[in-house]
Amino acid sequence: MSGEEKVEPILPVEKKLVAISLILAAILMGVLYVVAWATLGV
Amino acid sequence: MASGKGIDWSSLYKKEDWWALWLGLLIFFIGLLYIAGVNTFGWFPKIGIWVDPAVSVTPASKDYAWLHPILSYVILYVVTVVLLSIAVVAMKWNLKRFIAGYTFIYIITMITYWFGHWAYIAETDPKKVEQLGFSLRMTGEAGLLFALLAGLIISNFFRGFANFLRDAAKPELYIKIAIVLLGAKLGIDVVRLPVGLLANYVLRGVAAIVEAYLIYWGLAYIIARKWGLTREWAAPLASGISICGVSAAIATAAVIRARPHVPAVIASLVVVFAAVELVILPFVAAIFLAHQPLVAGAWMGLAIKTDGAAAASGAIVDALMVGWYPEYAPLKGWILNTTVLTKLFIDIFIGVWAFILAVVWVYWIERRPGEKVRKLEIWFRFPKFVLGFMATMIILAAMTGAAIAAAGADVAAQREAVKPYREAQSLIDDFRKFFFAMTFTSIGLITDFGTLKREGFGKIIAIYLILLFGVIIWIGFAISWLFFHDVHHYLIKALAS
Repeated sequence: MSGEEKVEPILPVEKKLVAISLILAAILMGVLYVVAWATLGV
Repeated sequence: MASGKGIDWSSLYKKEDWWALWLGLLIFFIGLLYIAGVNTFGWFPKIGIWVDPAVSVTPASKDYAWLHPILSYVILYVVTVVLLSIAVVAMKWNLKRFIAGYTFIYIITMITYWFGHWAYIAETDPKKVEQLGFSLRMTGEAGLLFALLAGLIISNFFRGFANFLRDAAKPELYIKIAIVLLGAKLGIDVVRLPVGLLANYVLRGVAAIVEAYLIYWGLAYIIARKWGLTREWAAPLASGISICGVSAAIATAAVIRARPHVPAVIASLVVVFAAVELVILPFVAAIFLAHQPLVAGAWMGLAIKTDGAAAASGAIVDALMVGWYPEYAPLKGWILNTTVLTKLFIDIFIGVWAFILAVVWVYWIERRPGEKVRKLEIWFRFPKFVLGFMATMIILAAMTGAAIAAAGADVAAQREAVKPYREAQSLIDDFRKFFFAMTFTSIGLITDFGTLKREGFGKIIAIYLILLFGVIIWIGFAISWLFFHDVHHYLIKALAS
């Protein structure tokens, strides 16, 4: 009920997916930031 | 809604989401009749900032100057209760209980909203403030906070009465109707903006949301897992706290096949803490982000986890900043627009995110052989009221644009041509403000702090609290800053020209 009834080890695939998500966020942040500011005055 | 082989069209009249769209559009089109010379909403009770309560409320239009304010309120009650009852019957809610609850919520909201217009609380004009000697300068939107407070007091101290009202305390329905009507407000303003600036503004909203999804979810999920939550709890909690509260938690729980009580517990946490944020964050933003109004607006959209509380916070920040800092007067409505922009994109992407999670769970985490994920789920999760918001914005922008074009190059002629459109929009906007106020009271009414005392949820509550106040709101702030700092200079310049 409280979310910790059974011990459930973190699978490697879970770590990988989170890592991919954060790496993608970092790359996109750079791209979107540049695009957003480069096109502001257009 | 997806069912079996295709689409179940009964969603069009069974779902709250669709009804928000229908009712919003109906009010919008009836309001537009003003342009054709039919003053349909001129009777609306308009509250001025008052010192003498006897002259505080007048009909919105001079055509109805003969109407007693009490009668205006009665008409508003009858019109809204009839419109909402159509939806209530279609959705098979309990009509009697709805009308009974709605009547009290209406009265409570109207009194608190009216009280918020007291000059000592609301007046912003420096000359009038000097005459009064003192004012909190919160604009009439202060009434929204009193509405919230009234709801919270009833919910937490008069539980029997709160339960009686609960059938009509529907913040998500009210705020969705308000957002559909907000599109009209945006529509009349966007024609004044250069297309490039508008596109850039929208791009920033999308960018902020893409970043929020990717960073929030991953971090919230892995932290919750490291602190001992199972996948069944961690995934809906990550969605609830990082995306759009209740609907995201429910969508994720469905995707990973969590037990029914999991999204229910997380949804109640989301609702309670969104109300806590609503009371605190708008003031923090207005005080500490005085030089960055759009960052403040975007931050409310990214940090507050229900549609109702987020839009409500945006409205308060908008009112506070325009009231406290006169240089932001041209931005009136745009701080709220920024909150709604980010929140709408969050809502739009819930379907996409639910689809991605379904793919990840089916193919990688749980590896369910033979199971396929249908792309139709994206449409199923798409918030339909967003279509109403876009429709009212595009229709009014197109009509206003055409009127300006027809008026020729003369600026005075253009202003004259736009006048009926602006007045129609102003009457429609009265309804938008009304549904906003109803949202605040309803949020208060469904926020029961007693929920937090339930045994066994201590750890979940602790993790939610730490994630929300220690991680989510700060990352939301950083993203808002990255994409919205200094943008207000460009917007003010365009709006003032």
